[in-house]
Amino acid sequence: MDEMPVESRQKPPARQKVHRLGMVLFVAYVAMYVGFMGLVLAWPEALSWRPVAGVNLAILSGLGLIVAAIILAVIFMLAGTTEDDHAA
Amino acid sequence: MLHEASVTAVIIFAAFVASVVGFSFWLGRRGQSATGYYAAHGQVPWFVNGIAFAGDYLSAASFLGICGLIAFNGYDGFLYSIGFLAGWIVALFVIAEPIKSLGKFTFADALDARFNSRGIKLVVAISTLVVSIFYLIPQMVGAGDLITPLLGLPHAWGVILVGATVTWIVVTAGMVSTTWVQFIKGSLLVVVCGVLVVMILGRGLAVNTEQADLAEQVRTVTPDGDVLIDGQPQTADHDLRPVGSISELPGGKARTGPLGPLSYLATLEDAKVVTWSKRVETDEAGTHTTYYPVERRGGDLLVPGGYFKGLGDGTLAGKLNFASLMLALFCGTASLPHILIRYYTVKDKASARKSTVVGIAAIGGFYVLTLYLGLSAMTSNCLDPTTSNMAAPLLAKSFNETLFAVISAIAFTTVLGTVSGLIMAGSGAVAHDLLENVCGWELDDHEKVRCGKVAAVVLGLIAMVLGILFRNFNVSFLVGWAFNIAASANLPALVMVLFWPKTTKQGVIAAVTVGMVASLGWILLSADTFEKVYGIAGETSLVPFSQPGLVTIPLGFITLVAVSLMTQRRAVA
Repeated sequence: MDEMPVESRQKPPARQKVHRLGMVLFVAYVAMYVGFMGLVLAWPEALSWRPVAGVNLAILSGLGLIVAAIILAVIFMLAGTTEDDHAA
Repeated sequence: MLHEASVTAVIIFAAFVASVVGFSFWLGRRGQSATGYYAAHGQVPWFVNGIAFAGDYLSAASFLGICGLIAFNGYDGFLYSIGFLAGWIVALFVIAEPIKSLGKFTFADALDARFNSRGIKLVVAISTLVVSIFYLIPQMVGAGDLITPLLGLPHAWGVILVGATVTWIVVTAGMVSTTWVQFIKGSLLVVVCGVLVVMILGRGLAVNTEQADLAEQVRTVTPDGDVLIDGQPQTADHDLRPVGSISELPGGKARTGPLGPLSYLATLEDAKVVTWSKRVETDEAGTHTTYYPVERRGGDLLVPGGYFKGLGDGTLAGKLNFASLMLALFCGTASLPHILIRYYTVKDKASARKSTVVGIAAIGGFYVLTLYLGLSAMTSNCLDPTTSNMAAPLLAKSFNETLFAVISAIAFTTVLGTVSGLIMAGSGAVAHDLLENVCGWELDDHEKVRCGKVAAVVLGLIAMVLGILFRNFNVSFLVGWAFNIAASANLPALVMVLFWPKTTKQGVIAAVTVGMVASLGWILLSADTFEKVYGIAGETSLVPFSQPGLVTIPLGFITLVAVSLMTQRRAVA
């Protein structure tokens, strides 16, 4: 078969580090998303609980997922830029 | 409801749309080579591209559809926001950089970079077209809904107006203008909705004391097509009343005064809210739709289950339907052709990543605002009971006419922007992938651009027809279908080409074909389509739940792996 490089192979060490960071952040977010869906599907009563400022867990966890996405994206941008990235 | 055009609103709307379109033309006046037309010369600054991502993505579904779903059903509309944003995480961490390295103009370039196969180009071009068309339908429906109250024109005119304007933009200008339209629209959408949310919090919540507002309302369409309201002909003075209000606030207050972002939610949770449901009956006098009020605890509206009925009643099919939609939203974003082509408009990988982060921040911020817009529309006695897609503009109208015109104009440019992006993606698929790479036409730069423009006109016409046919659907619901098809057809191939060395071209062709056909077939056989499109009872449908992603996305992966493993020897040979 054609042996053109696949993205995960033959990268300089700095790129591999960035790739690993991306995967770690990705897995972290997937865990949160799956956890949220699990709560909605398996334990919906818990979502009516109002832990902070009278706002329920359904709203807080939804807003939390949105804020988490933004924070992880910013971490990736700040920690993951290498010299190679500026090559087209 | 009948809506009369206001002169102020029309003037503001026309001036706004004309200036956005004019400005984008001026900025995009030098984009006429193929690289310029399809990829904006790869020189769009990353911040502009990031906001343009938001502009592409915050379509009629996000703005009109989600607001409407929250306004009519509560929390479940917000689930769409969560899923839509989560998809960007896949785009940023998994897809963004490899696709920037591999492609040139279109998504097919990236998938085909390892193989140079006409078969791959063909199936990917077809899937791009199918996804683009499914995504175009809700945009056009949204446009039609928007035009009715603003200009007093029928739904079909709104669809035709958007279709014609967008086709004209795409044909005359290409990706540079499209990018600038998206940038302007994305910025305005976030800023103006931010202002509107500040006004919502400043106004707080108030009880509606008019008992007459809570009487049932009946809309009858006679066999002759006449519309009656409570038995009398519908006129501007005798029409359906706006709905959605608060019947009781905590502490017996009549109004709260200004509230903070969290106290707004907490107060609503303790309030009693009047939402409206409908039942439809048909007899020899016509079809009667009765809208009736239902008083509910605010807390019941702020948890899942209002729209996804299966979550409330706990049926397995309902839960699977919900899980399937959330999976499709998660996987779909990174497989949408009009999002993927935007990676080719920036100059390098760092810019691709930075623009994705800007996009995520703008989109995430907007979805938080949408929650407040939807909840405020639910409680401000401003909703049209016949359509959920008009919640956001009618909420603006409850403040003043100018804000209504501005919000409608932004919503209209939202549709313009998204539709132009989709038509760009579709025309690229036809000219670059189908004609040049599959059919082997030798097109010079000029001809390639001309073929793309002809394709854009045809796509624009198809979109207009479908926008008129699907007018009774919520736009977010329709976008859910597009995500399902994109995720099932494109994501398995994209991920495996990038990360699994044993992928073969036969595997890619099979995965795209099976994913696309299976998800499309599932949708056409689902209960939702039976009820809303064919007018047949949903119970007779042939699939157990309506959203296909949970079955068809894994099916795409399994197909790719199986076919690739079976064709290893042939690939080596």
